[in-house]
Parts: sequence; structure tokens; C-alpha cells
Amino acid sequence: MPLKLSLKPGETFILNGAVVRNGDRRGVLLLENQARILREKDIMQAEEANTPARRAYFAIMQMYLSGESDGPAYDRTMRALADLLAVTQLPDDRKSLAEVSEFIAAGNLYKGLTKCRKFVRNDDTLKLEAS
Amino acid sequence: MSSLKLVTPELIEPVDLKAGIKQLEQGGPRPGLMVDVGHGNIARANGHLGQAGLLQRLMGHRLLAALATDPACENVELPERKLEVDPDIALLLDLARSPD
Repeated sequence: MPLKLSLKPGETFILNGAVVRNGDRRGVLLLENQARILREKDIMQAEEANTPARRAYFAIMQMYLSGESDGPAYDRTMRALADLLAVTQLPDDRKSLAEVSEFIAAGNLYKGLTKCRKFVRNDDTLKLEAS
Repeated sequence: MSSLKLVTPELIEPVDLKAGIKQLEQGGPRPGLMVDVGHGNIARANGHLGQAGLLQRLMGHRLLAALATDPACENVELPERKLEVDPDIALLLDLARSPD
């Protein structure tokens, strides 16, 4: 079943290593087969990777975008996950991080990225509460 | 007369993490080795580094899973690491910035 993407005017996404930008109208794309796709809202820039959760997300995102499931990219991600684990106290959260690691070990990088997003959201909530 | 044996993934049962690491460390694991790393997530030697990459991922996951259940590893103060950015990804991210 194809993946349907509804795009806002000017919306950017990355598809299998290519940066694609929609024109000045709304658009719909159908993706007929599996591909590495990341929408603008899920793209994190390096300067935004400023907490352990965000650094873990950024490391997994790099693996996903490059399609590399092992080698130096994997080592980088595991270091970032270990750093996040070190500041994570709730048992459920620590279990969730082990599940992120399961997805990554199985090469399911998109699911790992999605699961890690929860930690980024928690960070953002804490930041809002503190301000 | 030689014969070819067809090995299809459907005929191979996944092994657990411990058995997977053992097979890879001993060398010469079964072709099509599948390792259940938890919750039915199956790891295969399908990355750039083949079996070496699979062993790297299995060992990395074993370590992280152990840390996740070790109370001594909670709330540890670590020095902040420098963010490592792959140059190819840096280029992609730069292109993906909003043109505004």
C-alpha cells in the first residue's frame, strides 16, 4: 500500500538522501515502495541537538538518513543512548530506551527514531514548565 | 555430483541474543542467521559490514540492555560529549534548512 504524503507549500523532506522541496502550492505524493523518508517537522538540525535526548535522536536520525545500520554511525548512536540512559531515572523510561536499542539493533531505524521522539517531547515539556 | 541446498529465511528459526553472539564470535554462523533481540525484533547481517556489523549491533544492544536494568547506572554524571556530525549528513541538513 503506498504511503500518501500531503505537503504544505514549500515543505521540505529528505527522501533516500535527496532533499526535496514542494513548490508554492499544496501537493500530494504517493510513495509506492519503501524508502527512507523524513519530513521537515522530524528533521533536527545539529544546533538543536542540545540535550542528551536530542543528541540521541540526532544520532539515530543520522543513521536513518545515511542508511547505515552499523559501523561508526552505530557506535555514535550507542554512546548517545548510553548518555541519555545515564540521566534517565524512571524504570519505564529506561525500559523504553532498551526498546529503542532493540529497534536499532534490528536495523529498524525509523521505529527507533519514532520511539526516541518521546524523550525529545519530554525535554520540550520540561523546558516549557521551567519557563 | 554436487548439489545445491536452498536456504530460505522462512526455514530458519531466530536464535536469542546470547546464542547469536556466541555463533558469530565462534565464526561461521549459519547462513541467514536471524537473532531475536527482544519483542520479536529480528536482527540480520544486512548492514554494510555484514556479519561483523551484526556482531557489533548485538554486543552494543546487550551492553545497553544491561545498563538499562542496572541501578548503579542511574543518574550518572557524564561529561558532555561533542556532537559528532557525519559530513554527508551535515550537507543534507544544510540543504534542508528553510530558505527564509
